Amino acid sequence: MRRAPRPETGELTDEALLAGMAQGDDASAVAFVRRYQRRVFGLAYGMVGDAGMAEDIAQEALVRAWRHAPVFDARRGSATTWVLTIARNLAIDALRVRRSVPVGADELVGLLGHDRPTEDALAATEIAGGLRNALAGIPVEQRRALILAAVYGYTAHEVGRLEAIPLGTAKTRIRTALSKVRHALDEQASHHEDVE
Amino acid sequence: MTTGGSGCGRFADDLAELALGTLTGRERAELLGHLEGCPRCTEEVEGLSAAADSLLLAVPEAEPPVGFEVRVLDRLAAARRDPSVPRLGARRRGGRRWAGPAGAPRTRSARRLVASAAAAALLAASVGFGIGRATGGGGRSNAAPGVALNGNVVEASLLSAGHARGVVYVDEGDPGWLFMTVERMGSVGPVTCEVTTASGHTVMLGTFWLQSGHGAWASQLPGNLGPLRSARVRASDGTVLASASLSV
Repeated sequence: MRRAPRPETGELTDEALLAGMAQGDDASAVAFVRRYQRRVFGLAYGMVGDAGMAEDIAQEALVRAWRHAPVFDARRGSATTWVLTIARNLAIDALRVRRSVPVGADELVGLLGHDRPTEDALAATEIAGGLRNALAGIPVEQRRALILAAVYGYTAHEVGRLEAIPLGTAKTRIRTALSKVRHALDEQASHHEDVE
Repeated sequence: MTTGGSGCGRFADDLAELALGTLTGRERAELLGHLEGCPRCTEEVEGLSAAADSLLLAVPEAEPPVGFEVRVLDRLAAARRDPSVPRLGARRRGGRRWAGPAGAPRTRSARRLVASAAAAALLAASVGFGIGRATGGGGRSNAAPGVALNGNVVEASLLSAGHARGVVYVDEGDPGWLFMTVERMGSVGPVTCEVTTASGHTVMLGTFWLQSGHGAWASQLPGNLGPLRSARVRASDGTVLASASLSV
């Protein structure tokens, strides 16, 4: 029987690379690290605003992804979201252990506040593009409240304190911004269904 | 918002916070009570949760420092060589998956599998995807507090206001492990696990993520903790969501 040629690791999906890592394939691990290092470091740096701390977080996130690859379940979510959530949780831990203020929040709010094209590969994905468009259309004060809650894990009380605004205002900003993002994603999904 | 049932309007803000995992205390309890009878709000929370999860995708990439890739690959190589750091979820030659806390007496290698199962859970729970239930049996949330299963392994119920909300397993071997499943907590988002030693010293082990009130998590215990008295799960505001007595 003729075997199909093995695809290059660079051609494999994220999920296939994780499956390869789970089987102990070194080439998959190298390809995975190369594919994800900018995304993971970008998130960590965006959150903590410190290159050294961000590198520690990004390294640990990738090592944990490698270690846990055997039990990754693609049915429960994408590999990208999975790896980024590992990094996000590590960044939250690091900030809270060091009792750091989210110094990266201002920059992150700014980064997520424009929809101009960026060079990174992730921006080319339709989901990221749709998200950035949606975020760009949200007033900065709402976007900031949402990012503090969704990315940094702050409660509405904490957002209110950080932003020096009443609790009710913080709640409204968070809810309004998240609803806008949700509706944008829903519209994007509907558009895809119509096209197909 | 698409809610439309009786009393839905007053929960508008809380739905978003529940989806983000940042709602705590009485507000969370009231909303969860409402969700039990309101499929519309439940659907709304699920949609908002998906939106919240996707936000990380929008953060731009950044070029890591020179040598980053080499350093990561060095760490992977070191981890691969270190037999004391098991590959999570990996099968051992001649071994079998841990089938649950009850059953045949466990050998040392079986306890190692507990650690492996626990470690496997760490992956999924820490990122909010839940796990295939490594413990089986629906989590055995009715387990009695502080039961010595075998050797160094202790099983205890995770209780909230007298209701079982999961199970904690502690392997006080070397290295020691803590593994917990959380069920029906009525919360999403990050929670913190901490333990108190027999001497009264409290140690925070780490943070993990609940999704739809469920999750599982594991952590290797720091050295020299000695016997543990209790374990707790705290919300991000410090509120104790559930606790387990580990005294045997």
